[in-house]
Amino acid sequence: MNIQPERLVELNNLTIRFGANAQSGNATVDHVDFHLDKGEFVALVGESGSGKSLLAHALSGILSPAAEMKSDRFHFSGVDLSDPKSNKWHGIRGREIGVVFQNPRAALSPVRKVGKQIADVIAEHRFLRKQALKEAVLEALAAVRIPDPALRVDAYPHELSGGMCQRIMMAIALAGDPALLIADEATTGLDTTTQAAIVSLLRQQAEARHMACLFISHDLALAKDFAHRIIVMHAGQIVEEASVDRLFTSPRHPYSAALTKATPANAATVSELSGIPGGIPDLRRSVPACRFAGRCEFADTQCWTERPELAGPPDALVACWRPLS
Amino acid sequence: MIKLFSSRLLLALPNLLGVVILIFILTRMLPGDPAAYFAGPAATQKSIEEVRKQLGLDRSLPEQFLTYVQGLFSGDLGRSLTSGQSVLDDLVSRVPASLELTLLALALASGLGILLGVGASLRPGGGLDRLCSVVSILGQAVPTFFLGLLLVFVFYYKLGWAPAPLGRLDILYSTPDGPTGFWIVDTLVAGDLDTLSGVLRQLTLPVVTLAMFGIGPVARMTRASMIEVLNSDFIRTARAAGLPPSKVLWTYAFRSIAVPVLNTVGMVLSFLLGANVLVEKVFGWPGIGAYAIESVLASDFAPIQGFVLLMAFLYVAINLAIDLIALSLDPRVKFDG
Amino acid sequence: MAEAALGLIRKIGNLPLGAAFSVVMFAVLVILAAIGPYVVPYDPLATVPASAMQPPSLTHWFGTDQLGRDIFSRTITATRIDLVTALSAVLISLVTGTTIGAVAGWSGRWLDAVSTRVFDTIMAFPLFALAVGIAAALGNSISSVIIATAIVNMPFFARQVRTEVNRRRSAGYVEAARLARIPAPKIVAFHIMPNLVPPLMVQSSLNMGWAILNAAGLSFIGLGIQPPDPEWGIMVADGAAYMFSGEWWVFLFPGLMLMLAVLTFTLLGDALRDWLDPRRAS
Repeated sequence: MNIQPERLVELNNLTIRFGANAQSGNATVDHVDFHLDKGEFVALVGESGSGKSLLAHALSGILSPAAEMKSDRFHFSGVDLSDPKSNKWHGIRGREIGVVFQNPRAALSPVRKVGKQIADVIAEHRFLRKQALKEAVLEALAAVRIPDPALRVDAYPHELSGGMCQRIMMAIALAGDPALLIADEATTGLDTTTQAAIVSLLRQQAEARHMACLFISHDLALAKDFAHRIIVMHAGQIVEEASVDRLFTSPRHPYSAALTKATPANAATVSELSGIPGGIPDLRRSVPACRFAGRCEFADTQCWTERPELAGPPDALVACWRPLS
Repeated sequence: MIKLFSSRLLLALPNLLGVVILIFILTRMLPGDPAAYFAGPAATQKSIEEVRKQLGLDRSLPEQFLTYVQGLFSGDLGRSLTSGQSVLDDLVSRVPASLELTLLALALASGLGILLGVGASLRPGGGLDRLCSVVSILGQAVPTFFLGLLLVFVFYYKLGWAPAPLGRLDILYSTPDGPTGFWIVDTLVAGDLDTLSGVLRQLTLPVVTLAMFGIGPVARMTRASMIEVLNSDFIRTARAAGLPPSKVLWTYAFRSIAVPVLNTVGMVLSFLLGANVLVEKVFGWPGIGAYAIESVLASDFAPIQGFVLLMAFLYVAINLAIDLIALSLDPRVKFDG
Repeated sequence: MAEAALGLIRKIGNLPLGAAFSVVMFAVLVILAAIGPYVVPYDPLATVPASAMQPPSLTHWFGTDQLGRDIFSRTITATRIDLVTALSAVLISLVTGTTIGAVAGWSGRWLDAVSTRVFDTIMAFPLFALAVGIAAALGNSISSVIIATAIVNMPFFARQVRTEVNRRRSAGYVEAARLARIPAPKIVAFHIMPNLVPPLMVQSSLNMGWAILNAAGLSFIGLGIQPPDPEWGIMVADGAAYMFSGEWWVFLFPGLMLMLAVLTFTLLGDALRDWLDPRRAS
């Protein structure tokens, strides 16, 4: 139980199951270990359906009641959060952990002024009222670099651009001055210029407030620019976890190797991959123990029958029976 | 706002005109000779001809229609044969009784329907959800008048909790004399709490009867919209931001479905206005519905025509009001006709 | 024969509760309407002053009314008139509504716009009030109750048919029929309408429920069928007065029967819809 002083999140052996996969018995998030230090920037990459957003939901305490979550340990700042219904989440959800989602326009209430939506969250976590609350909202808008905050507070989401809405979302996520900011595909669907602006704003805010940041994306190039450490997920399993340098210079998992190879410039995305045959396996049916085995040119019997554990030196962990050297 | 209001009103006019035309056609469908009919049973051939001239029935149909519309504009709805009064006066004096009943029932039905629908949406397939479907099926199947009689039988005759179903107020009380004709308002204004309690006691059963038929549609619409919206992205955001569940449920989820629910409430109000006729008969309620029934039985057509016109007018007014409320509730509702 | 009957029973037993109830009750109602008047124990019109106002007993299952008439016999006999009234109204609205809807949906343009507008107006109107107005204008008779009920139900058919015809107007098989120079009325009748039979069945069943309610409501306030003919709405209205002296059976049994009939068609409509379109079943 010796958590290092700078450790923020410690998550061991997380498994999330859904009733829809009851027949095959496959977990949608399978034996995942995850940790994050205070102030650390980590990126989580994978194709859509890799379970990365589900992991984000579990980390931010908004897992759907239909999901069945189990873990050996889930500590946040020393608080045990392994029960998603626990009232210990109160005071952490939204306050210590803020989340920025994708598709910002749909992620804001369409019938409430954006200023009000920010004010709701600030009032909840910082107990401000009336004039002080108003000023805090204006400050929050200014902090995410919204021009003319006094004008924008009374706007509705449909009156703002996608990039503007994403800044509002960020103001909501930052409202509780959290220790961890999760950006769940926060730049997906925005145009390239806006994307760059949002990422730089994210980095600047996180650094200024000494926040840890979990950057979830299918865009490897963005992740590379942003994070210190990258975690690669495939079909609910973590396949590789390494420092940015090691992952891009000498990837060890065949999947990561294909990903990095398929990302030559900074424009290509995982979804455009051509080097990897097949798609993510259908978890409603039975799948190999290493869920990449069906797509892997090096796979042998062991890969199909025995699940590889994440192992190796701390800056180059890999879950593979046949890692590349 | 005023500009918006007037353009909405303009859009509502064709509906009103449609109803006026329909009623005009209906009056011309009256079996037999309308002139003989309006002249009364003791009329001679000569007086019938006089009435025909007086009513303008000797002119062409378009001409008759114009005169008819002109009459409407000057507030002339004809005279009731039975009461001898002007139909307009009769209706105006009775309309508050009907509206007080219908609007209270609407408020009750909307409140209960929304609570039931929200409750059902939280746990689809749960107890409240099943109650929701039972209420809505029964609301479609039980005849209004039969439910009213059942309630009277149980709560007045058997249990003695409710007063006799004989109108708006027991004769023990003096009739409220206020400006609105809505007796709840009038007694409150006069500070006469004793009479107010009498008014409320009389209202309870008819209001409950009528409300039972509005709960189902409101609950079903609320449930369906809530289930959809609870899975939406912005609810996820509100939850992740740590807002308390009640705030997420009402300020975020419910607030965003207010418009479809409101439209259903409008539909329910229209239905209740019709069903009101039967409830008024069961509870001896001196409103426009009872007036229409009396006139129907006395073959007194002018009041019925006035009644249907009044309904058309109320219906246009309601839809206008609902449009305007929807506009203020949802910034996305644009004025597009 | 017995095996087939057993199979049928098993099939009904496997249905959801509401659907099974509606199928069985529907059969019961049809049988009662067909043979009810011939099998009831007493003449529904025969007055026997000596046995007036008897509570339910073995001789009079539902009791007797103020004139000593057997309420059970009257309630059963009334099934025919109530169902026939409602069925006539629904058939009229089905035929006229379908025709108008098909013409409007096929021709499009202003005719479509106007008729849509008219039907929306009627549907949003307080329907029972409109029915009272129409029935009163047509004169106090069964046929005016039928016509009034038909008019307020008609837009539901017209709107549905309009939408479907309009949607299928440019479908491939319709285009093909048009190229083959098949006249428009034939295309609508033989190529489009068969697709519309299932939804119209559902609509008809639901409308049967509403039509029964509407007609009974009109006779409850004194329009249409006149005493002494047995009809559920009138019987409830007649019995209401005696409730206050404790004779509850006079209004209760016809009211329950009326409710049961409406419930049957409402549930039958729901069951048909779930059966024909399983995706919508929840």
